[in-house]
Amino acid sequence: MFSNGISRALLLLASLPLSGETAAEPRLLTVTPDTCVALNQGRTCYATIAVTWHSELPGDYCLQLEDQTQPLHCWQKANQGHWQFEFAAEQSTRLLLTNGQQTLAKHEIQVNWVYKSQRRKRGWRLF
Amino acid sequence: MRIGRIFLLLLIVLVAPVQADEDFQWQISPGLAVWDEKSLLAGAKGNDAYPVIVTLQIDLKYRNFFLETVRRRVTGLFDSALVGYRIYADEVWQTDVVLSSHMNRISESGYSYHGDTIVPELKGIRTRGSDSSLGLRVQHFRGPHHLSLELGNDISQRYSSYLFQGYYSYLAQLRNWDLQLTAGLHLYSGELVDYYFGILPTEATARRPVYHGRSAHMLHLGLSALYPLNEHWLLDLGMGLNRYSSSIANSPIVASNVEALGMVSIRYVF
Repeated sequence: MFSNGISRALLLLASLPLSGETAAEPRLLTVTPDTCVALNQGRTCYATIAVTWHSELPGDYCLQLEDQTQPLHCWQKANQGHWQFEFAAEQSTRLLLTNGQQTLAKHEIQVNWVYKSQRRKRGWRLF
Repeated sequence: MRIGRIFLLLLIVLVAPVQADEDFQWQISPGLAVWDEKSLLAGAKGNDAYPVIVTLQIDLKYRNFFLETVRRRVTGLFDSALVGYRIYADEVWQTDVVLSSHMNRISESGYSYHGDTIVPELKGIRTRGSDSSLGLRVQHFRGPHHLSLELGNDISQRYSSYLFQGYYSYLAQLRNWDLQLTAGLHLYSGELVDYYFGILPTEATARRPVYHGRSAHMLHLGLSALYPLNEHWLLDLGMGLNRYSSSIANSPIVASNVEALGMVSIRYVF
């Protein structure tokens, strides 16, 4: 009985909206891929990224990278959208779905690398 | 052997005042590769014996001493490892004393990566062992350009003479790809050519006459590409073309003056 009570309480907590969310906010922001891998740390990483979002209520929404002032794309009176863009960054950055000044959802695009330092080029031979 | 002694003397004299600026560094990268070739050797079976090979790249550095494996070389680890001592290094120049092997072992089966099956065209030849070359390597790095010049002298007493290797590489970054275009020139002494590609009277047959090698050269063109699949796995592609001068191309154990090789590999970076 005690464990059932804890389970119910956890389910109830999980169903509560997160802080700042309302019923009209987007429920889904899908970013594919959300990881970009460069050969070296500090090198610009490139990826073609597809974003899908939808919301329960239609509205004016914009997709924007956190460190940029200009949005990638905006929709008017829409409750869903799909956008593909060329990502190029040296470090991880967050993708925001905004409605005016309000950020409704965010998703981090991680920039990772294979080599921490710049590899020094070496002579090579195939034979 | 006189040149060998000069290099040893250079090693002793030049390395003494060098100050170590870094401690132990390492990088190990095992992988798998598929490859194919148009072999230099007559009758060689290409990748029949080992269509897929295990590759291992190792870079170890302790102070000014280092061990590195030559990228993408098909032969075994011990044939391709290079040990050296860094005499001088700045942002642009790097000078090393290096001990390495440049020439592959040749037997009746071809090169070591051709397996153990005896090739009819090579049956009856003596085994030519891989060399050990002590030399001086000077490298120049500037932006995407890389120049490497290496003069070595055989200390294994296989041929006891010199070999020169010069490479120029241009590295281009295309999105997440590294593309490297390389042009190279090798100069081989007459003694080297005679040891590896000459035919002694004891090896001669009706279809394999006695042959004496003279000094020769080889021109190389290569293209390689490196792509990160994720934080630990790399896709590594490479293809190369070597063109030999007549002294090697005319040897009875050589198929033609051109050899080519291509590899596709994936490897793990720790």
